[in-house]
Amino acid sequence: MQAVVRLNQRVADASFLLRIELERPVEWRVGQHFSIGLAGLGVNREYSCLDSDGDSQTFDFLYKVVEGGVLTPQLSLLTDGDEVEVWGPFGEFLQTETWLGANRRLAIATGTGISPFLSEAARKTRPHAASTQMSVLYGLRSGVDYFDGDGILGRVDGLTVCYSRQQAPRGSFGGRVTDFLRRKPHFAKEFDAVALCGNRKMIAETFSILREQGFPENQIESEVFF
Amino acid sequence: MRNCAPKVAFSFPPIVNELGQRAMVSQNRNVQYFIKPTFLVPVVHAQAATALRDIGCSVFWDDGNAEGLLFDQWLDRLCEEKPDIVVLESTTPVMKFFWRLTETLKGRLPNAILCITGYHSMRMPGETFENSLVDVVVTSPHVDFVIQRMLGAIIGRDRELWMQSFAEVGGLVIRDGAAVMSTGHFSLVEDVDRSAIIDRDLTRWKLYSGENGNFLMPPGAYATSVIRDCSFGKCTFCRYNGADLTYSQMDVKKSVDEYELLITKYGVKEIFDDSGVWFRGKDAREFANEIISRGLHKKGCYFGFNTRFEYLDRETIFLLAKANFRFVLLGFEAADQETLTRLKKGYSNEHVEQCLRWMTEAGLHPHLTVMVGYYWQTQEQLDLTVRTVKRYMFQGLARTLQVTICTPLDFTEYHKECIREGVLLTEDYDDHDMSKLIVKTPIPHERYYEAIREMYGVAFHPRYLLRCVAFLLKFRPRDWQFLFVYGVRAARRVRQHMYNLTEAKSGS
Repeated sequence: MQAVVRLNQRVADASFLLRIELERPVEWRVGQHFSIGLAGLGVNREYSCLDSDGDSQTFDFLYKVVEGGVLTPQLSLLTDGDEVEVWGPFGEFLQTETWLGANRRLAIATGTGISPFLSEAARKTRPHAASTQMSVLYGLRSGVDYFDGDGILGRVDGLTVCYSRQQAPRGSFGGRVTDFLRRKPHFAKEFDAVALCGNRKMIAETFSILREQGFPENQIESEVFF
Repeated sequence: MRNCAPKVAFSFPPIVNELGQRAMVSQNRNVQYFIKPTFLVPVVHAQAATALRDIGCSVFWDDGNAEGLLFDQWLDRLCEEKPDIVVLESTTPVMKFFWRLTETLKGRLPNAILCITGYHSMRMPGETFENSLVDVVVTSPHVDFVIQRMLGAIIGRDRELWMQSFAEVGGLVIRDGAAVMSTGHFSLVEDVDRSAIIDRDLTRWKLYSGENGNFLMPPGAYATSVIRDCSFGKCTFCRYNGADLTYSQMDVKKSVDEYELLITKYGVKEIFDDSGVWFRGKDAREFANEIISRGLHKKGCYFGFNTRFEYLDRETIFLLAKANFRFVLLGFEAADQETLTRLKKGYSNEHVEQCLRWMTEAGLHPHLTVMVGYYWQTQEQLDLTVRTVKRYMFQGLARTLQVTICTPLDFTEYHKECIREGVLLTEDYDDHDMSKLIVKTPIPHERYYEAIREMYGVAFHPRYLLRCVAFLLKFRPRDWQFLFVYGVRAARRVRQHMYNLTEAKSGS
């Protein structure tokens, strides 16, 4: 279906926030993603949504501009009123009984993989989710990549930012999220469910670490970003 | 009691129907019966066999189906081998066969542990225990990783402790006396970079190197898949879809190492990667560049893969062609947008033609996999698909095609939807063999069979043949090979498809 760009702005070093308005409302759930392509390009890619404040026609996406990439360099040039093609929503991430039924949840994200958890953090403010807790382990190369969705991350019950390529500011961790989990082998055990979103190497390695630490594998779910 | 290294048989029994046709089962396929079948190497099982051999197990690669054995020949041979563990691969249309088989095997090999894999039993393990004498159901698509852990848990332990030891391995449902016990959820993510590259000698690669429509010039081989299961993973009719699955990816260089080995050691002339959806973007370009940098594009070997529309851009397609890629298999499930949306295909028909045009310009041979018979498909939608497919073939935008009946299988989303909507016409798993429609449809079933005949009939149409001749003027060897070498095999395959999907049914 067609959609119109309403906002497209740089929000971190190489990350942009894209807001689009679909031609008609769609039913959508937190954690789902859409395929987005440029009109006439013939190539699309999947992007997870951020919270859209309950509006089912306007959606926000966080994307990183990939140098030499097919789509994102062109996506970053879009301005208000430009058209894009959208398919979806797809996926069941953060919709499983495991995640929804857990009281203490741990979200582990790298880069733009924070998107579905920003959405989840916003959902947490709604009455039915008030009793649940969510902590976030957020991996970035450096502070210029940080994006908290206008303070949404401030609403979570615990936030640890891991910086892999800069000295960690006070209150954060110096190293990758996987280094953090290795350094604190009991950290994940405080939670009933873990959800991972980010690049595939982080996800494979984190799975392996959690398995070694004895975290139940049926309490882990993931969404792989390419 | 002392225990030496266990002997594991990866067994694919001959399955022959009343028409004398053999079932093509392996490699997660939608079962079809052919007189001259295509046997695919079951990639993940072959990786499992290799991994077990590497940890010291004795492995018996037992594809009696591909070897053309009769059932009794196969059974006698397996019993003579006396395996400790027999690993089977199943899917909906042959579930009942496998359930009966476990009774036969338990009678002849009472001490062997029978282990069943495959998406059907994975999603419905209780049903398999109720109906068979199987000991273990693997509830993970990562058969190689799970079986490796199973064997790791029992090597060096007494035989009578083996079943008990399996309880330590996640991703299994095991028989525990009269009860059935789950060992917990399988690991969703496995690092495919740590999976084994298939040992071709161990898994008898020649069995799978000849009769295959994906190979222009045999011998061909299926690569160890770079993607497990599918990088998109949303199409409702596909096994590689669901909240309990994800995808993982192999390193480019590791995969190209295997290509190099297949070309230099085995003299392979075409390599196909059967990953649900192969690399795209940067990874696809890196792969092509790696092939070129090693000079493998000049070794007389073509390469192929599965992809989806709107995944590859023009530049990447031309680079792949330069690296001697040829066969590109694309799911073209329907020409109407409503069907694509209901199937969650995630692309627009509007871009299909452009993608095919890029591929054809680059010299690739796009192959369309068309489906008909969705429970909602109207005559208008069906006609549009037939017209569009014919146009693509006549214009040379697609080089080959296959048409199948969309059959609900293995409790995919589409299968569950058919059950929920009350449109399934049978509860007999044997009927899920893709030889006939098994869902209620808005128009008579014969209309879909006619559509299949019409689309396959393109292969013998003068306009299509003229187009193939016109391609010769491009002076690309692959186009000459396509017409004069592949053409004969292709004609036979088309006749088989038409017979299976339309005439065998009416004669039965």
